[in-house]
Amino acid sequence: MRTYLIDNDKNEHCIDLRRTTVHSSELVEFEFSLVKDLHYSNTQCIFVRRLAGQYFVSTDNAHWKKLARQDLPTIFLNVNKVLSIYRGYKPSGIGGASDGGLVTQMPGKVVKIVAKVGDKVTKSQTLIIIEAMKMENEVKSNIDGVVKEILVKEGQALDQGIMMMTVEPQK
Amino acid sequence: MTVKRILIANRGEIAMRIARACRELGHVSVGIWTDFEVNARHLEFCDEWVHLPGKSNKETYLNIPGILKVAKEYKIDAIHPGYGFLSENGSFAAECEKSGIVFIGPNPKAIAAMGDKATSKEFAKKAGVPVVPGSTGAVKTIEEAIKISKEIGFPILLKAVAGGGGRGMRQCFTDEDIKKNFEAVGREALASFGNGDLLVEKYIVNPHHIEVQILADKKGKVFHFFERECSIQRRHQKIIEEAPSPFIGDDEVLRKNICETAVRLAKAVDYDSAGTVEFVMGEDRKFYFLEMNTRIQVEHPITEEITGVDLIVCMIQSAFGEDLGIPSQEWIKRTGHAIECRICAEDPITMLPAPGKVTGFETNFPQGTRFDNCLYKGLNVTPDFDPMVGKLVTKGIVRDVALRKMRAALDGLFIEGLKNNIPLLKIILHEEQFNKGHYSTSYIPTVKPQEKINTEFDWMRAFQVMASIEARRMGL
Amino acid sequence: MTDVIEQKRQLLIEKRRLARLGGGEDRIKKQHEQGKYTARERIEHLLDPGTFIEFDRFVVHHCTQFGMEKNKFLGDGVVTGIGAIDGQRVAVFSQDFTCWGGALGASHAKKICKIMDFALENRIPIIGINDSGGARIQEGVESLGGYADIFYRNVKSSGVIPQISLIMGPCAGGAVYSPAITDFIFMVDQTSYMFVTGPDVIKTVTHEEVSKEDLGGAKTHSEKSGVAQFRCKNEDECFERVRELFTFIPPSNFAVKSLRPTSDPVYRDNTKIKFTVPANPKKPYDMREIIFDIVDDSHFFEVHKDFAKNIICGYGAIGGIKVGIVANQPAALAGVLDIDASLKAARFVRFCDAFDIPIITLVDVPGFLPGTVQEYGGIIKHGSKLLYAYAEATVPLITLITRKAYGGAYDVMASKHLKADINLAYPTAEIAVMGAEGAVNIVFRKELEGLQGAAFEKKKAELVKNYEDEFANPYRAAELGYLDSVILPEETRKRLYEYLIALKNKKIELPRRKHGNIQL
Repeated sequence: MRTYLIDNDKNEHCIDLRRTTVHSSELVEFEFSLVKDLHYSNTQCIFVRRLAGQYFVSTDNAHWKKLARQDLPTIFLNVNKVLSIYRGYKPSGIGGASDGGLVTQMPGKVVKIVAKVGDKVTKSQTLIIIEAMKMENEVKSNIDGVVKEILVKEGQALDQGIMMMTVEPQK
Repeated sequence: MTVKRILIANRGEIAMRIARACRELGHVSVGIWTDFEVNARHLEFCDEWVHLPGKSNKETYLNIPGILKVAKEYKIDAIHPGYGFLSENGSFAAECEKSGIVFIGPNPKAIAAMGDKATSKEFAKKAGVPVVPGSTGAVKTIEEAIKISKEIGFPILLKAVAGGGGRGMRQCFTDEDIKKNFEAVGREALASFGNGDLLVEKYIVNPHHIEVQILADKKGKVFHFFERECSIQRRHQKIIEEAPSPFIGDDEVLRKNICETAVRLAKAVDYDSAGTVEFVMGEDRKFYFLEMNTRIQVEHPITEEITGVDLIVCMIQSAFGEDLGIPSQEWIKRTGHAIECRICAEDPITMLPAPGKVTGFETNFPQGTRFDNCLYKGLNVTPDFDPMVGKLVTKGIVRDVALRKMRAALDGLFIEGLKNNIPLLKIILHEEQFNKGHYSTSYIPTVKPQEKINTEFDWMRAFQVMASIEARRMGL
Repeated sequence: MTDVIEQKRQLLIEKRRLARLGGGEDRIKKQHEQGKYTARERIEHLLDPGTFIEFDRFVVHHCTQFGMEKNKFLGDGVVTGIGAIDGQRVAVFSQDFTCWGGALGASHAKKICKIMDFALENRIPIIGINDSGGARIQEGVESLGGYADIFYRNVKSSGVIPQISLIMGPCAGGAVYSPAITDFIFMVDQTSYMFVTGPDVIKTVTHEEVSKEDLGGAKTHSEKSGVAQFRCKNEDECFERVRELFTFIPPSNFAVKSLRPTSDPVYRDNTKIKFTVPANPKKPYDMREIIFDIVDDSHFFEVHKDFAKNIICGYGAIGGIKVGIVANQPAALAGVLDIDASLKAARFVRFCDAFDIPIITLVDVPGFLPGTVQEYGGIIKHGSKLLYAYAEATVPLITLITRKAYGGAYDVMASKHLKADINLAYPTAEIAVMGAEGAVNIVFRKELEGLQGAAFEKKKAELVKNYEDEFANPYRAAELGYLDSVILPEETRKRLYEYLIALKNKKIELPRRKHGNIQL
């Protein structure tokens, strides 16, 4: 099971629990690995023993260290970063579709075409302004890329579902 | 001895400290609790609790009429202001006197005399205490500035009269520098502080901040408890203090000189209760008066450790006009060396306050370590209060032993969930110059220990925390 | 003596090993090659480590037709049992594609029904991992009967315990009805598909050529048909989403509510959203910005994200209190209500109502989407479903009108008259029957008659401005008590938290009846 540690600046570290071995009612062994770009690294076995109501940890079942008692911490302090612990999931943020075609969502009129063919554009950059439903709608790119073709003209009245522009994805 | 009721007009670790001193003397300690710090740990040590309504420091700890009203209601005999808040507020001390409440601190006249930077300098001069040489008042022309600079010797500092916080000042090493900077600093001062007047002051290169602890009773006896060096500072706030000063070292003559100078000044203002005289000392071992703090200070524990005298208890005794039990100055001896590190809730690299919540607190100290703190698991450190959450004090027979114990103590102090400066302190405690005792107030800006902190992701510790979470989930 | 005992022990251990193999090593390998986990691996990844307890591991089928008795798999193609997600007990069944393609037979269905009964009786959520080729033809009507038993239990548990379906392989024909009834459907890109009749049958009957992925893949069902609420890139992400969902929904309908731990202070200002709602009512803005600033840790778990983008539904927490959030999205389709949006929101509201989750509604709706497509599609029926859902809801309802609330859509979006508990508005709110332009044309028709050109424009502009000053503000509604308060954007989070605390013990009841007649 995977745990994500994410801080305020969206830096994240991913830890996988690879194996759990219960040795007795007082001793459990966990095998953790760091996950970086789909590769495992820093694999380590951690033994946890319960002694006198406290948790002690060890890497070799011989040398033990007491853990500062925290109930079920949801934050982890690493020097100057406070990371939130998400056990088993990464909080869904602003995901998004990955195709670069801009299609009209409803009938409207093209007010202004802001981008040109060949322009380098970034995600959420406004490319076309459409007036529809008495609103000026900024149609934004949903990917980073280059404007490939523009299929409409300013002032043109459009129906719903018309492809207006295509953006070719590019990092 | 009659039992007195003492109100502690403060919070946090100093309130705890004072409460324990009160209990020791058999007096009743009354602690304040506020709406915005409901789980204050200092109340644990207070015999009685009194509620001060309000949503901010201004409405509670700084609210003079509010505190006096509560004091009258609860038949308080004395108020101990701690440090910060109202401790150096002359009018508060006066109001207490008027209400017939003993103010556990110096008399209002002494507070007034030493409170103002200008008047305190006058007193110092009159008492024969060396002050930082410079112009007496504002300097109007470049020529005048150059004349004074030649008299006192370069390097000098062109300083705004109304300035502060390190702004509105420029260093000048030669006449040319003065000619270059005079107008500029004047303009800067006018813009920042509304007053373009400048004064000339000797610039002490690599200054050491050395202060002397003073304790006086109401019968005119003034004692000094040797000095402390507090040169490790960031943003003009001390983070590591030592007693005695490693810079003065074995120079007993210099030590005697500076301590007796401090006593002289205290006597000159009819001082009573505890206080500290702060000096600035250059590499040439010449010292100059900086200011006097007419209150008990954060770093008093290290003086207590090397002299074995409980300063807070003495303060309380002195306030009630009792005898301190100190026969003479010679009776006060110092042994060994003590170091204090201030543990603050701040980012160890930017050194800016970082409020947060303590999710775990564990200590594993070497023998004889003292940790004055108000920490507990679940404590919410808010921006309302000072970021300092505790003081770690170690003592050794010699400086090296004290350093060794401090290193071990820092390794054994675990605070989880709240950003703190322990990594920074660890770096300093391992750093060569600090260990040799060769440092001045320019330590942090020049050595930059905060940049040496390893911020790599400590995956081993993360694994351990994760293991404890999984174990608890499994019901181990 | 001990030998006999030892033998018996070894037999059990051997049977356990066999059961774990499912359909055999080869088939397991094939499953992995397709980028799919086996049934047991899925359960391991989904649940907390070491908490899964299996039921009915040794059940086999009892069919004697077509020589089936020669071939029996322990477990009969499905793994059922109970485990924990983040400490919360859940019941789970996972179909095993390695055993006859996960086809459902009588025993297989009996196992699933047993675990569903267990979940219902013990009030714990049930998660179904579907990966099945369909009914087992050899078992005949018994397979169909098995399906129906499952469907009955889906309906019996609906609204009592949360039912989650993860589609991680084929799910076709009659089998799709079970996930369809459940509360949330998760689909995985490229490896999962759902349809009633497959591409082959479609080709022969209507001569349309379409691939499995296009007909019923994750993309189709999350964007076009709206059948699936979640679309995941791979199985790992799917498990993570399910776990994230479980931090927001309660384990059963009358469970004691728990708080969601957070360190985000409740009384912080929302100065970030002070100017999010633009001054020009024609300019759109992203409603998500407001949502992100209100919820704890900016953690908003959006449900049904790719379908009906003009309305946003999702879960969040405010000061630890878990809430459902429904909001119009002015950046998509101007935030109008249409058939898809109404259906999406209505189902979401009814789930929240069934499981006692307070609902916060953020309103910025110019009206319903006009057009023949909508009218012929039945916007009358479907639009009023959302109205029904809000009116029927007895959970705490807090409504905040950020900008527009015109016409019938004002009524539908949890207005005071549908017994929403708290109705708030920003100073930028405009609550009226219709927009200024349209209104002026109708109300002041006489005044504008006969005017032309510049004079017409001037008079119209003047009338529009008067109308806007009079009506395009929240105070008309406030004067009538239809709003409880007009608040500043900076105060939003604090106020919502205060109201939620006050509404904690809300209790109202609707008149006794078997059930209403919602216009399906």
